Amino acid sequence: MQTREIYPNPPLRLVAVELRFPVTRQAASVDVWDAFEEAFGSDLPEADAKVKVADDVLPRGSRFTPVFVRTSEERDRAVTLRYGALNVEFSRYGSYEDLRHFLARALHALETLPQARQITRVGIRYVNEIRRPPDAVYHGGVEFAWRDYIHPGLFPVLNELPEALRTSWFSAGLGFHSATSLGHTYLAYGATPTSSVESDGPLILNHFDEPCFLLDIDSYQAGRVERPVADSEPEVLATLDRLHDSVEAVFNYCITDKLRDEVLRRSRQKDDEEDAEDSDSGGLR
Amino acid sequence: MTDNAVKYPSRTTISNTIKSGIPGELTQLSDQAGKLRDASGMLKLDVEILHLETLSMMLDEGIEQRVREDVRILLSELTEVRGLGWSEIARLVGVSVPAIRKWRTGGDISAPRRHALAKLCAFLDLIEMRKIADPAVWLGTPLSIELDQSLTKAVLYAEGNALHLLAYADDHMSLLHLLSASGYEMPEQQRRVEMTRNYDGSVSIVPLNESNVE
Repeated sequence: MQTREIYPNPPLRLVAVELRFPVTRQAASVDVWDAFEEAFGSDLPEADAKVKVADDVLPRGSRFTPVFVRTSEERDRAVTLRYGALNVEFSRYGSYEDLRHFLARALHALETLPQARQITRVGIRYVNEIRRPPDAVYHGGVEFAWRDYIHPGLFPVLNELPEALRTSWFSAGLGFHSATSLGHTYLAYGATPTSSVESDGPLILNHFDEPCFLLDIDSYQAGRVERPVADSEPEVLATLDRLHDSVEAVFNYCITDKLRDEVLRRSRQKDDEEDAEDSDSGGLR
Repeated sequence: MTDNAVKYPSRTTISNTIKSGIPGELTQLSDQAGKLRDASGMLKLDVEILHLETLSMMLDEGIEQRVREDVRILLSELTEVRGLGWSEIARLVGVSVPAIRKWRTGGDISAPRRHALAKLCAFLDLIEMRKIADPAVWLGTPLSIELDQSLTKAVLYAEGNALHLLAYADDHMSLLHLLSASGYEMPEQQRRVEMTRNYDGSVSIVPLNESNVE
């Protein structure tokens, strides 16, 4: 892992780690349930079994059907076990090390599921939403509103837009593919009229209904059953470290020093105090 | 970089969905289908329970009628009309053959035993209503040629699975489901599925050899 700066005030809405493994109905067994209960019973006490009776054979391709979800009391952290995947998700993010530690505990619990030893895909995704800058002006091009905060390299295509599209919201994507490993990092970004993250999952998100700039960065490494990405906890975590470095590199490329200095390095406490003083300030938060 | 990775760059899953601009019709359709699938799964469970409840009510109604009849009449019906032997009746009701012999000659019968005898008669009545010409023969036949031939429907009945047998007779329950609900498994060499017990006590039937699915 690289030495990295931990921003006290990141624009994170959601962070997710996903491990995929061969689909197994044994995910819905009492041993696995008990292992996760032991691992997360205190931190994630809210347990929601999604499979009540699975008496018929689900068709193949049911990888993402959840078996159970465990969440914290505040519903800001969740672990979801699916028939072919494990998700660890945070809507309140402390640090990568915290997330990594959480995943290590989940991996330990996952040892009760023999099929899950062959990890066929490791993915980590950071969904950032940078809220509207003060005095944002959308006339003349949506990108102008964020121009001081987002790297100008992300906007060139917008410069060529016809006048009729200049005030539209926009989205775009970039893919980065490692030349030396199997890693891929995708960036989905754009200016949106409101948050892109739906509050329809197990996690509770701080609601806001105002324009923001999305930086959705997803880095993953995929293999096959016969050639898994990792088959041990150290390998999974080492892969995750590499993927996180990619996410961090992309994020730091996307933002300007102005955003880093004025927003990300602000203490969250100071931010909260200002919010309390004037919730309608419209400032960049 | 594998071909697999390039062809299927599916995003890392997050439980809270992300809007992708204006949701496309396919996305909406997929969401609706997913929700319908979830709903149908729950509905299936509810309907199964409802079905068993209605069968239970039908059986209770039949028992209520039969329990009013004379025990000797019930026994003669089981032997002469249904063609059951004394030992079969004793096994199905859960008593000894001498006990049956005693009832036949007018001996005392306890309320639970009378209820059990009435239940057997009512059960056979309901089986007959399911277009099974000879309920007693049906009850004595093995469940499957793949199973121990001594495992008959009568064995399941004697072990308290009357409602599941009624659902099975109605073709609303598969053999596998009947076995699972009755606590039996297919022989190891024949199995294409296995059963796991969920934390809540329910049983999942899961296919074997799923380990290489990807």
